[in-house]
Amino acid sequence: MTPFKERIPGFVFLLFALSALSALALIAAFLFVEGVPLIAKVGVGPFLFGMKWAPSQGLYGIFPMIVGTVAVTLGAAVLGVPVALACAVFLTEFAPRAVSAVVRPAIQLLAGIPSVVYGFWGLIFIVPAIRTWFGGPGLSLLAGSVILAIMILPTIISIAEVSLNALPRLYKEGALALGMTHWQAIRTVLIPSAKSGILAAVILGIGRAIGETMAVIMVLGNAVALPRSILDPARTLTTNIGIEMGYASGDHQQALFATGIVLLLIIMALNSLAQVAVNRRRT
Amino acid sequence: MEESATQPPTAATPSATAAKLAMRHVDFHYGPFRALKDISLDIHDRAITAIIGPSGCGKSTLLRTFNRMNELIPRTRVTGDVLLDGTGIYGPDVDVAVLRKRIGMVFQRPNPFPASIYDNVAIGPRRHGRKEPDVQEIVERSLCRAALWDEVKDGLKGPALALSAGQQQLLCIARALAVEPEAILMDEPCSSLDPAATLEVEELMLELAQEYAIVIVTHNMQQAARVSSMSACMMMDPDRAGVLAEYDATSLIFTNPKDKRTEDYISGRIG
Repeated sequence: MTPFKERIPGFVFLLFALSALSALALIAAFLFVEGVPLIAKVGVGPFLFGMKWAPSQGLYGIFPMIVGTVAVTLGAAVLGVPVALACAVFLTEFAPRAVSAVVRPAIQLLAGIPSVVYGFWGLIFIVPAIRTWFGGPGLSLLAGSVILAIMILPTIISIAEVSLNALPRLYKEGALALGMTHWQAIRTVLIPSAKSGILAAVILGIGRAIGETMAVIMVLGNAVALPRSILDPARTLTTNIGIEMGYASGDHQQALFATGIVLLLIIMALNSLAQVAVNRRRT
Repeated sequence: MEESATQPPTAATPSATAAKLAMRHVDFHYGPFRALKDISLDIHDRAITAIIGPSGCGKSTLLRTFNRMNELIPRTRVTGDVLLDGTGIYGPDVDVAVLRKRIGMVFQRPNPFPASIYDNVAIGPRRHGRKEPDVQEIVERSLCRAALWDEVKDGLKGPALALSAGQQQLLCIARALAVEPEAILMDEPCSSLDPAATLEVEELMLELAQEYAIVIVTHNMQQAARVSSMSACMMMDPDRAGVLAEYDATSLIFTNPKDKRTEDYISGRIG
Protein backbone atom coordinates (compact mmCIF):
# COMPACT_ATOMS: atom_id res chain seq x y z
CA MET A 1 0.00 0.00 0.00
CA THR A 2 1.34 3.39 -0.99
CA PRO A 3 1.76 5.78 1.94
CA PHE A 4 -1.03 8.29 2.21
CA LYS A 5 1.30 11.23 1.59
CA GLU A 6 2.25 9.92 -1.83
CA ARG A 7 -1.33 9.47 -2.87
CA ILE A 8 -2.24 13.10 -2.25
CA PRO A 9 -1.07 14.45 -5.65
CA GLY A 10 -3.03 11.82 -7.53
CA PHE A 11 -6.07 12.67 -5.47
CA VAL A 12 -5.74 16.41 -6.10
CA PHE A 13 -5.38 15.90 -9.84
CA LEU A 14 -8.38 13.60 -9.80
CA LEU A 15 -10.42 16.40 -8.23
CA PHE A 16 -9.44 18.82 -10.98
CA ALA A 17 -10.18 16.27 -13.67
CA LEU A 18 -13.56 15.62 -12.12
CA SER A 19 -14.37 19.33 -12.06
CA ALA A 20 -13.90 19.45 -15.85
CA LEU A 21 -16.11 16.41 -16.20
CA SER A 22 -18.73 17.79 -13.85
CA ALA A 23 -19.00 20.93 -15.99
CA LEU A 24 -19.97 18.69 -18.89
CA ALA A 25 -22.38 16.76 -16.72
CA LEU A 26 -23.98 19.96 -15.40
CA ILE A 27 -24.46 21.43 -18.86
CA ALA A 28 -25.87 18.21 -20.24
CA ALA A 29 -28.18 17.76 -17.26
CA PHE A 30 -29.42 21.31 -17.49
CA LEU A 31 -30.07 20.99 -21.22
CA PHE A 32 -32.03 17.82 -20.72
CA VAL A 33 -34.01 19.05 -17.73
CA GLU A 34 -35.03 22.19 -19.56
CA GLY A 35 -35.40 20.77 -23.04
CA VAL A 36 -36.91 17.34 -22.67
CA PRO A 37 -40.33 18.49 -21.33
CA LEU A 38 -40.79 20.69 -24.39
CA ILE A 39 -39.87 17.87 -26.73
CA ALA A 40 -42.29 15.63 -24.85
CA LYS A 41 -45.02 18.23 -25.17
CA VAL A 42 -44.51 18.89 -28.88
CA GLY A 43 -43.58 15.30 -29.74
CA VAL A 44 -40.24 14.09 -31.09
CA GLY A 45 -41.52 13.85 -34.67
CA PRO A 46 -43.11 17.30 -34.90
CA PHE A 47 -40.13 18.84 -33.12
CA LEU A 48 -37.43 17.30 -35.33
CA PHE A 49 -39.37 17.28 -38.59
CA GLY A 50 -41.79 20.14 -38.15
CA MET A 51 -41.42 22.65 -40.97
CA LYS A 52 -42.60 25.68 -39.07
CA TRP A 53 -40.82 27.52 -36.27
CA ALA A 54 -43.21 30.15 -34.89
CA PRO A 55 -42.87 30.42 -31.12
CA SER A 56 -45.63 33.02 -30.92
CA GLN A 57 -48.07 30.43 -32.31
CA GLY A 58 -46.57 27.62 -30.25
CA LEU A 59 -45.04 25.95 -33.30
CA TYR A 60 -41.62 24.50 -32.67
CA GLY A 61 -40.46 22.63 -35.78
CA ILE A 62 -36.68 22.73 -36.22
CA PHE A 63 -36.40 20.80 -39.47
CA PRO A 64 -35.44 23.88 -41.57
CA MET A 65 -32.63 24.55 -39.10
CA ILE A 66 -31.42 20.98 -39.20
CA VAL A 67 -31.33 21.32 -42.99
CA GLY A 68 -29.59 24.69 -42.62
CA THR A 69 -26.99 23.22 -40.29
CA VAL A 70 -26.34 20.21 -42.49
CA ALA A 71 -26.22 22.30 -45.67
CA VAL A 72 -23.89 24.99 -44.39
CA THR A 73 -21.61 22.40 -42.79
CA LEU A 74 -21.53 20.27 -45.90
CA GLY A 75 -20.76 23.37 -47.95
CA ALA A 76 -17.95 24.28 -45.58
CA ALA A 77 -16.56 20.74 -45.85
CA VAL A 78 -16.74 20.72 -49.64
CA LEU A 79 -14.93 24.04 -49.84
CA GLY A 80 -12.60 23.66 -46.89
CA VAL A 81 -11.50 20.03 -46.74
CA PRO A 82 -9.67 19.85 -50.09
CA VAL A 83 -7.85 23.11 -49.35
CA ALA A 84 -6.96 21.97 -45.85
CA LEU A 85 -5.67 18.57 -46.96
CA ALA A 86 -3.67 20.10 -49.79
CA CYS A 87 -2.19 22.49 -47.28
CA ALA A 88 -1.31 19.66 -44.87
CA VAL A 89 0.35 17.69 -47.66
CA PHE A 90 2.20 20.80 -48.78
CA LEU A 91 3.49 21.44 -45.27
CA THR A 92 4.61 17.86 -44.66
CA GLU A 93 5.94 16.93 -48.08
CA PHE A 94 6.75 19.95 -50.22
CA ALA A 95 7.36 23.06 -48.17
CA PRO A 96 10.98 23.99 -47.58
CA ARG A 97 11.70 24.51 -43.92
CA ALA A 98 11.76 28.29 -44.31
CA VAL A 99 8.32 28.31 -45.91
CA SER A 100 6.65 25.99 -43.42
CA ALA A 101 8.16 28.05 -40.61
CA VAL A 102 6.03 30.94 -41.85
CA VAL A 103 2.95 29.09 -43.08
CA ARG A 104 2.41 26.91 -40.01
CA PRO A 105 2.18 29.74 -37.44
CA ALA A 106 0.09 31.75 -39.90
CA ILE A 107 -2.43 28.92 -40.00
CA GLN A 108 -2.40 28.71 -36.22
CA LEU A 109 -3.13 32.43 -36.19
CA LEU A 110 -6.19 31.74 -38.33
CA ALA A 111 -7.50 29.69 -35.42
CA GLY A 112 -7.01 32.61 -33.07
CA ILE A 113 -9.10 35.16 -34.97
CA PRO A 114 -12.34 35.76 -33.04
CA SER A 115 -15.36 34.45 -34.87
CA VAL A 116 -17.07 37.82 -34.77
CA VAL A 117 -14.23 39.15 -36.88
CA TYR A 118 -14.79 36.38 -39.43
CA GLY A 119 -18.46 37.25 -39.43
CA PHE A 120 -17.82 40.93 -39.88
CA TRP A 121 -15.36 40.33 -42.68
CA GLY A 122 -17.83 37.96 -44.34
CA LEU A 123 -20.58 40.54 -44.08
CA ILE A 124 -18.44 43.26 -45.63
CA PHE A 125 -16.71 41.22 -48.36
CA ILE A 126 -18.26 37.81 -48.98
CA VAL A 127 -21.92 38.75 -48.79
CA PRO A 128 -21.73 41.65 -51.29
CA ALA A 129 -19.52 39.57 -53.55
CA ILE A 130 -22.09 36.77 -53.66
CA ARG A 131 -24.87 39.28 -54.23
CA THR A 132 -22.97 40.80 -57.15
CA TRP A 133 -21.72 37.61 -58.79
CA PHE A 134 -24.48 35.10 -58.12
CA GLY A 135 -27.51 37.25 -57.30
CA GLY A 136 -29.88 36.76 -54.38
CA PRO A 137 -29.65 38.57 -51.08
CA GLY A 138 -26.02 37.62 -50.52
CA LEU A 139 -26.80 36.60 -46.95
CA SER A 140 -26.94 32.90 -47.74
CA LEU A 141 -25.86 29.33 -47.16
CA LEU A 142 -23.02 29.96 -49.58
CA ALA A 143 -21.72 32.91 -47.55
CA GLY A 144 -21.91 30.82 -44.38
CA SER A 145 -20.13 27.94 -46.05
CA VAL A 146 -17.29 30.14 -47.27
CA ILE A 147 -16.73 31.65 -43.84
CA LEU A 148 -16.92 28.28 -42.09
CA ALA A 149 -14.63 26.71 -44.67
CA ILE A 150 -11.97 29.22 -43.69
CA MET A 151 -12.64 28.79 -40.01
CA ILE A 152 -12.21 25.01 -40.05
CA LEU A 153 -8.93 25.15 -41.99
CA PRO A 154 -6.62 25.33 -38.96
CA THR A 155 -8.31 22.41 -37.20
CA ILE A 156 -8.14 20.12 -40.21
CA ILE A 157 -4.69 21.22 -41.33
CA SER A 158 -3.01 20.75 -37.99
CA ILE A 159 -4.52 17.35 -37.22
CA ALA A 160 -3.96 16.06 -40.76
CA GLU A 161 -0.41 17.36 -40.67
CA VAL A 162 0.26 15.60 -37.39
CA SER A 163 -1.04 12.31 -38.73
CA LEU A 164 1.00 12.61 -41.94
CA ASN A 165 4.11 13.49 -39.94
CA ALA A 166 3.53 10.53 -37.65
CA LEU A 167 3.95 8.07 -40.50
CA PRO A 168 7.19 6.09 -40.30
CA ARG A 169 9.81 7.44 -42.67
CA LEU A 170 10.11 3.88 -43.93
CA TYR A 171 6.73 4.13 -45.66
CA LYS A 172 7.95 6.91 -47.86
CA GLU A 173 11.30 5.27 -48.47
CA GLY A 174 9.60 1.98 -49.24
CA ALA A 175 7.34 3.66 -51.77
CA LEU A 176 10.17 5.55 -53.44
CA ALA A 177 12.29 2.39 -53.52
CA LEU A 178 9.59 0.80 -55.66
CA GLY A 179 10.21 3.43 -58.29
CA MET A 180 7.34 5.71 -57.39
CA THR A 181 7.62 9.41 -57.93
CA HIS A 182 7.23 11.62 -54.90
CA TRP A 183 3.66 12.44 -55.84
CA GLN A 184 2.77 8.79 -56.44
CA ALA A 185 4.19 7.93 -53.04
CA ILE A 186 2.09 10.65 -51.43
CA ARG A 187 -1.06 9.65 -53.25
CA THR A 188 -0.89 5.88 -53.04
CA VAL A 189 1.03 5.26 -49.82
CA LEU A 190 1.27 8.25 -47.50
CA ILE A 191 -2.28 9.62 -47.68
CA PRO A 192 -3.94 6.18 -47.50
CA SER A 193 -1.67 5.26 -44.58
CA ALA A 194 -2.72 8.38 -42.70
CA LYS A 195 -6.36 8.08 -43.65
CA SER A 196 -7.71 7.40 -40.18
CA GLY A 197 -6.00 10.50 -38.81
CA ILE A 198 -7.12 12.53 -41.80
CA LEU A 199 -10.66 11.29 -41.33
CA ALA A 200 -10.54 12.31 -37.68
CA ALA A 201 -9.28 15.74 -38.75
CA VAL A 202 -12.17 16.18 -41.15
CA ILE A 203 -14.73 15.04 -38.59
CA LEU A 204 -13.39 17.39 -35.93
CA GLY A 205 -13.38 20.21 -38.47
CA ILE A 206 -17.00 19.46 -39.28
CA GLY A 207 -17.81 19.44 -35.58
CA ARG A 208 -16.26 22.87 -35.33
CA ALA A 209 -18.39 24.07 -38.24
CA ILE A 210 -21.58 22.74 -36.70
CA GLY A 211 -20.88 24.46 -33.42
CA GLU A 212 -19.91 27.85 -34.82
CA THR A 213 -22.51 30.51 -34.09
CA MET A 214 -21.41 34.11 -34.17
CA ALA A 215 -19.85 34.27 -37.62
CA VAL A 216 -22.75 32.34 -39.08
CA ILE A 217 -25.39 34.61 -37.55
CA MET A 218 -23.79 37.55 -39.33
CA VAL A 219 -23.74 36.12 -42.85
CA LEU A 220 -26.47 33.50 -43.05
CA GLY A 221 -29.56 35.73 -43.19
CA ASN A 222 -31.26 33.71 -40.44
CA ALA A 223 -34.57 33.09 -42.23
CA VAL A 224 -36.54 30.31 -40.59
CA ALA A 225 -37.88 29.00 -43.90
CA LEU A 226 -36.45 25.90 -45.54
CA PRO A 227 -33.68 27.05 -47.91
CA ARG A 228 -34.23 26.05 -51.55
CA SER A 229 -30.77 26.85 -52.91
CA ILE A 230 -27.34 27.72 -51.64
CA LEU A 231 -28.08 31.37 -52.39
CA ASP A 232 -31.03 31.38 -49.98
CA PRO A 233 -30.69 32.65 -46.44
CA ALA A 234 -31.01 30.01 -43.75
CA ARG A 235 -30.77 29.42 -40.04
CA THR A 236 -28.78 26.81 -38.18
CA LEU A 237 -29.43 25.16 -34.83
CA THR A 238 -26.77 27.28 -33.17
CA THR A 239 -27.86 30.57 -34.67
CA ASN A 240 -31.42 29.81 -33.67
CA ILE A 241 -30.33 29.75 -30.05
CA GLY A 242 -28.02 32.71 -30.48
CA ILE A 243 -30.67 34.94 -32.03
CA GLU A 244 -33.64 34.17 -29.82
CA MET A 245 -32.19 33.50 -26.40
CA GLY A 246 -32.29 37.18 -25.48
CA TYR A 247 -36.05 37.44 -25.43
CA ALA A 248 -37.29 33.85 -25.14
CA SER A 249 -39.19 32.66 -22.09
CA GLY A 250 -41.38 29.76 -21.08
CA ASP A 251 -41.94 27.14 -23.77
CA HIS A 252 -39.94 29.21 -26.21
CA GLN A 253 -36.90 29.16 -23.97
CA GLN A 254 -37.32 25.44 -23.40
CA ALA A 255 -37.50 24.93 -27.15
CA LEU A 256 -34.11 26.61 -27.46
CA PHE A 257 -32.70 24.24 -24.86
CA ALA A 258 -34.24 21.40 -26.83
CA THR A 259 -32.41 22.70 -29.90
CA GLY A 260 -29.27 22.54 -27.77
CA ILE A 261 -29.97 18.88 -27.02
CA VAL A 262 -30.11 18.09 -30.71
CA LEU A 263 -26.83 19.95 -31.22
CA LEU A 264 -25.16 18.15 -28.34
CA LEU A 265 -26.25 14.77 -29.69
CA ILE A 266 -24.93 15.60 -33.17
CA ILE A 267 -21.57 16.72 -31.78
CA MET A 268 -21.33 13.68 -29.53
CA ALA A 269 -22.01 11.40 -32.48
CA LEU A 270 -19.33 13.16 -34.54
CA ASN A 271 -16.76 13.01 -31.77
CA SER A 272 -17.34 9.31 -31.23
CA LEU A 273 -16.94 8.84 -34.96
CA ALA A 274 -13.61 10.67 -34.81
CA GLN A 275 -12.60 8.53 -31.85
CA VAL A 276 -13.41 5.38 -33.80
CA ALA A 277 -11.40 6.66 -36.74
CA VAL A 278 -8.38 7.38 -34.56
CA ASN A 279 -8.56 4.06 -32.75
CA ARG A 280 -8.70 2.13 -35.98
CA ARG A 281 -5.20 3.38 -36.74
CA ARG A 282 -3.79 1.51 -33.77
CA THR A 283 -5.01 -1.91 -34.83
CA MET B 1 43.37 -14.65 -57.57
CA GLU B 2 43.73 -18.44 -57.82
CA GLU B 3 41.42 -19.16 -54.89
CA SER B 4 38.71 -16.82 -56.04
CA ALA B 5 38.39 -18.72 -59.30
CA THR B 6 36.01 -21.12 -57.59
CA GLN B 7 33.59 -18.31 -56.92
CA PRO B 8 30.93 -17.79 -59.59
CA PRO B 9 32.05 -14.28 -60.52
CA THR B 10 35.77 -14.45 -60.71
CA ALA B 11 36.90 -10.90 -61.07
CA ALA B 12 37.69 -9.27 -57.80
CA THR B 13 39.37 -6.32 -59.37
CA PRO B 14 37.16 -3.72 -60.98
CA SER B 15 36.40 -4.49 -64.57
CA ALA B 16 33.74 -2.49 -66.33
CA THR B 17 32.36 -5.29 -68.46
CA ALA B 18 31.22 -7.84 -65.87
CA ALA B 19 29.74 -5.40 -63.39
CA LYS B 20 26.02 -4.89 -62.91
CA LEU B 21 26.70 -2.02 -60.56
CA ALA B 22 29.94 -0.18 -60.08
CA MET B 23 31.50 2.76 -58.30
CA ARG B 24 34.50 4.71 -59.48
CA HIS B 25 36.20 7.01 -57.01
CA VAL B 26 32.98 7.84 -55.26
CA ASP B 27 32.94 10.39 -52.47
CA PHE B 28 29.79 11.08 -50.51
CA HIS B 29 29.15 14.12 -48.35
CA TYR B 30 26.49 14.88 -45.77
CA GLY B 31 26.85 18.63 -45.75
CA PRO B 32 30.51 19.28 -44.88
CA PHE B 33 31.02 15.74 -43.56
CA ARG B 34 32.60 13.25 -45.92
CA ALA B 35 30.96 9.89 -45.24
CA LEU B 36 32.51 7.92 -48.10
CA LYS B 37 35.98 8.40 -49.47
CA ASP B 38 37.19 7.25 -52.84
CA ILE B 39 35.14 4.08 -53.15
CA SER B 40 35.66 1.96 -56.24
CA LEU B 41 34.11 -1.46 -56.60
CA ASP B 42 32.23 -3.69 -59.01
CA ILE B 43 29.05 -5.52 -58.05
CA HIS B 44 28.65 -8.68 -60.09
CA ASP B 45 25.41 -9.79 -61.62
CA ARG B 46 23.79 -12.97 -60.32
CA ALA B 47 25.78 -12.97 -57.12
CA ILE B 48 25.51 -11.75 -53.57
CA THR B 49 27.89 -9.06 -52.48
CA ALA B 50 28.11 -8.41 -48.76
CA ILE B 51 29.13 -5.07 -47.34
CA ILE B 52 30.58 -5.57 -43.89
CA GLY B 53 32.39 -3.41 -41.40
CA PRO B 54 32.01 -1.76 -38.01
CA SER B 55 29.08 0.50 -37.15
CA GLY B 56 29.10 3.97 -38.60
CA CYS B 57 31.60 3.29 -41.34
CA GLY B 58 29.16 4.11 -44.13
CA LYS B 59 27.82 0.72 -45.18
CA SER B 60 24.24 1.88 -45.49
CA THR B 61 25.31 5.12 -47.11
CA LEU B 62 27.22 3.14 -49.69
CA LEU B 63 24.23 0.90 -50.34
CA ARG B 64 21.84 3.81 -50.64
CA THR B 65 24.12 5.52 -53.11
CA PHE B 66 23.22 2.80 -55.60
CA ASN B 67 19.55 3.77 -55.74
CA ARG B 68 20.00 7.44 -54.90
CA MET B 69 18.06 7.00 -51.68
CA ASN B 70 20.46 9.30 -49.89
CA GLU B 71 18.96 12.17 -51.85
CA LEU B 72 16.03 12.22 -49.45
CA ILE B 73 18.41 13.81 -46.98
CA PRO B 74 19.01 17.46 -47.80
CA ARG B 75 22.50 18.76 -48.51
CA THR B 76 24.03 15.50 -49.57
CA ARG B 77 26.44 15.29 -52.48
CA VAL B 78 27.95 12.52 -54.56
CA THR B 79 31.09 12.81 -56.64
CA GLY B 80 32.70 10.18 -58.82
CA ASP B 81 30.77 7.72 -60.96
CA VAL B 82 28.08 5.27 -59.91
CA LEU B 83 27.29 2.97 -62.80
CA LEU B 84 24.42 0.66 -63.63
CA ASP B 85 25.29 -1.53 -66.61
CA GLY B 86 28.11 0.89 -67.32
CA THR B 87 25.89 3.98 -67.40
CA GLY B 88 26.11 6.72 -64.80
CA ILE B 89 23.04 6.92 -62.56
CA TYR B 90 23.68 10.43 -61.33
CA GLY B 91 23.52 11.94 -64.80
CA PRO B 92 21.20 14.89 -65.43
CA ASP B 93 18.85 12.91 -67.69
CA VAL B 94 18.42 9.93 -65.35
CA ASP B 95 14.85 9.41 -64.14
CA VAL B 96 15.25 8.50 -60.47
CA ALA B 97 11.93 6.65 -60.39
CA VAL B 98 12.99 4.46 -63.29
CA LEU B 99 16.36 3.87 -61.66
CA ARG B 100 14.73 2.78 -58.41
CA LYS B 101 12.39 0.50 -60.31
CA ARG B 102 15.46 -1.20 -61.79
CA ILE B 103 17.24 -1.41 -58.44
CA GLY B 104 14.95 -2.70 -55.72
CA MET B 105 15.51 -2.24 -52.02
CA VAL B 106 14.70 -4.14 -48.85
CA PHE B 107 15.01 -2.27 -45.58
CA GLN B 108 16.36 -3.02 -42.15
CA ARG B 109 12.95 -3.08 -40.53
CA PRO B 110 10.19 -4.76 -42.50
CA ASN B 111 8.09 -1.89 -43.82
CA PRO B 112 4.93 -3.22 -45.41
CA PHE B 113 2.38 -0.49 -46.01
CA PRO B 114 -0.71 -0.56 -43.78
CA ALA B 115 -2.78 -2.22 -46.49
CA SER B 116 -3.68 -5.76 -47.50
CA ILE B 117 -1.03 -8.33 -48.39
CA TYR B 118 -2.26 -8.26 -51.97
CA ASP B 119 -2.14 -4.48 -52.27
CA ASN B 120 1.35 -4.35 -50.83
CA VAL B 121 2.66 -6.44 -53.69
CA ALA B 122 0.31 -5.00 -56.30
CA ILE B 123 1.06 -1.36 -55.58
CA GLY B 124 4.34 -1.31 -57.49
CA PRO B 125 3.14 -2.94 -60.72
CA ARG B 126 -0.01 -0.80 -60.64
CA ARG B 127 2.10 2.33 -60.36
CA HIS B 128 4.03 1.22 -63.37
CA GLY B 129 0.92 0.88 -65.45
CA ARG B 130 0.10 -2.82 -65.23
CA LYS B 131 -3.59 -3.70 -65.38
CA GLU B 132 -5.53 -6.03 -63.12
CA PRO B 133 -5.30 -9.52 -64.69
CA ASP B 134 -1.57 -8.92 -65.14
CA VAL B 135 -1.20 -7.53 -61.65
CA GLN B 136 -2.86 -10.57 -60.12
CA GLU B 137 -0.44 -12.84 -61.90
CA ILE B 138 2.54 -10.73 -60.85
CA VAL B 139 1.38 -10.77 -57.23
CA GLU B 140 1.12 -14.54 -57.22
CA ARG B 141 4.45 -14.99 -58.97
CA SER B 142 6.23 -12.56 -56.65
CA LEU B 143 4.78 -14.11 -53.51
CA CYS B 144 5.75 -17.58 -54.79
CA ARG B 145 9.22 -16.32 -55.59
CA ALA B 146 9.52 -14.92 -52.07
CA ALA B 147 8.42 -18.29 -50.61
CA LEU B 148 5.42 -16.69 -48.99
CA TRP B 149 2.60 -17.75 -51.31
CA ASP B 150 1.63 -20.94 -49.51
CA GLU B 151 1.34 -19.15 -46.20
CA VAL B 152 -0.74 -16.22 -47.39
CA LYS B 153 -2.64 -17.39 -50.44
CA ASP B 154 -5.86 -17.86 -48.46
CA GLY B 155 -5.64 -14.48 -46.79
CA LEU B 156 -4.42 -12.11 -49.46
CA LYS B 157 -6.96 -9.48 -48.41
CA GLY B 158 -5.78 -9.64 -44.81
CA PRO B 159 -3.72 -6.81 -43.35
CA ALA B 160 0.00 -7.06 -44.05
CA LEU B 161 0.80 -5.70 -40.60
CA ALA B 162 -0.78 -8.79 -39.02
CA LEU B 163 1.98 -10.98 -40.45
CA SER B 164 4.96 -12.01 -38.36
CA ALA B 165 8.14 -9.95 -38.73
CA GLY B 166 9.75 -12.65 -40.85
CA GLN B 167 6.71 -12.90 -43.11
CA GLN B 168 6.61 -9.12 -43.38
CA GLN B 169 10.19 -9.07 -44.57
CA LEU B 170 9.44 -11.79 -47.15
CA LEU B 171 6.47 -9.70 -48.21
CA CYS B 172 8.75 -6.69 -48.64
CA ILE B 173 11.01 -8.82 -50.80
CA ALA B 174 7.99 -9.94 -52.83
CA ARG B 175 6.97 -6.32 -53.16
CA ALA B 176 10.42 -5.44 -54.47
CA LEU B 177 10.37 -8.38 -56.90
CA ALA B 178 6.96 -7.36 -58.23
CA VAL B 179 8.37 -4.34 -60.04
CA GLU B 180 10.81 -6.65 -61.84
CA PRO B 181 14.09 -5.14 -60.73
CA GLU B 182 17.53 -6.06 -62.05
CA ALA B 183 19.35 -5.71 -58.77
CA ILE B 184 18.25 -5.77 -55.14
CA LEU B 185 19.79 -3.80 -52.30
CA MET B 186 19.27 -5.18 -48.81
CA ASP B 187 20.05 -3.06 -45.78
CA GLU B 188 20.54 -5.48 -42.89
CA PRO B 189 17.40 -7.34 -43.91
CA CYS B 190 17.60 -9.83 -41.05
CA SER B 191 18.63 -7.62 -38.17
CA SER B 192 15.12 -7.51 -36.72
CA LEU B 193 14.29 -11.16 -37.41
CA ASP B 194 14.61 -14.26 -35.27
CA PRO B 195 17.05 -17.02 -36.33
CA ALA B 196 14.41 -19.11 -38.11
CA ALA B 197 13.16 -16.19 -40.15
CA THR B 198 16.75 -15.15 -40.83
CA LEU B 199 17.45 -18.58 -42.24
CA GLU B 200 14.40 -18.31 -44.48
CA VAL B 201 15.43 -14.94 -45.82
CA GLU B 202 18.98 -16.16 -46.40
CA GLU B 203 17.76 -19.18 -48.34
CA LEU B 204 15.61 -16.89 -50.42
CA MET B 205 18.56 -14.59 -51.08
CA LEU B 206 20.67 -17.48 -52.31
CA GLU B 207 17.94 -18.48 -54.68
CA LEU B 208 17.35 -14.95 -55.94
CA ALA B 209 21.07 -14.60 -56.55
CA GLN B 210 20.67 -16.89 -59.53
CA GLU B 211 18.78 -14.12 -61.27
CA TYR B 212 19.69 -10.84 -59.63
CA ALA B 213 22.64 -8.86 -58.47
CA ILE B 214 22.17 -8.64 -54.72
CA VAL B 215 23.99 -6.29 -52.40
CA ILE B 216 23.52 -6.85 -48.71
CA VAL B 217 24.69 -4.77 -45.80
CA THR B 218 25.16 -6.90 -42.73
CA HIS B 219 26.54 -6.66 -39.24
CA ASN B 220 26.52 -10.38 -39.00
CA MET B 221 29.74 -11.84 -40.34
CA GLN B 222 28.45 -15.38 -40.23
CA GLN B 223 25.67 -14.21 -42.48
CA ALA B 224 28.12 -12.63 -44.89
CA ALA B 225 30.11 -15.86 -44.90
CA ARG B 226 27.01 -17.97 -45.43
CA VAL B 227 25.40 -16.11 -48.30
CA SER B 228 27.82 -13.89 -50.14
CA SER B 229 30.32 -14.69 -52.82
CA MET B 230 31.98 -11.30 -52.66
CA SER B 231 32.63 -9.20 -49.59
CA ALA B 232 33.46 -5.57 -49.26
CA CYS B 233 34.92 -4.68 -45.90
CA MET B 234 34.57 -1.04 -45.00
CA MET B 235 36.47 0.84 -42.35
CA MET B 236 36.45 4.30 -40.87
CA ASP B 237 39.42 6.47 -41.64
CA PRO B 238 40.87 8.65 -38.90
CA ASP B 239 38.84 11.55 -40.35
CA ARG B 240 35.72 9.36 -39.88
CA ALA B 241 35.14 8.92 -43.59
CA GLY B 242 34.17 5.44 -44.73
CA VAL B 243 36.70 3.73 -46.94
CA LEU B 244 36.78 0.40 -48.66
CA ALA B 245 39.46 -1.50 -46.77
CA GLU B 246 39.26 -4.64 -48.81
CA TYR B 247 37.09 -6.10 -51.51
CA ASP B 248 37.49 -9.67 -52.57
CA ALA B 249 35.89 -13.07 -52.78
CA THR B 250 34.21 -13.82 -49.45
CA SER B 251 36.22 -17.02 -49.03
CA LEU B 252 39.42 -15.00 -49.26
CA ILE B 253 38.29 -12.19 -47.02
CA PHE B 254 37.38 -14.63 -44.30
CA THR B 255 40.37 -16.95 -44.60
CA ASN B 256 43.15 -14.76 -45.78
CA PRO B 257 42.45 -11.04 -45.41
CA LYS B 258 45.17 -8.84 -46.82
CA ASP B 259 44.24 -5.74 -44.94
CA LYS B 260 45.23 -5.61 -41.27
CA ARG B 261 42.02 -3.79 -40.32
CA THR B 262 39.89 -6.37 -42.11
CA GLU B 263 41.68 -9.12 -40.28
CA ASP B 264 41.13 -7.40 -36.95
CA TYR B 265 37.49 -6.83 -37.69
CA ILE B 266 36.81 -10.35 -38.87
CA SER B 267 38.60 -11.93 -35.98
CA GLY B 268 36.50 -9.78 -33.64
CA ARG B 269 39.26 -7.50 -32.39
CA ILE B 270 37.46 -4.35 -33.56
CA GLY B 271 33.87 -3.47 -34.40
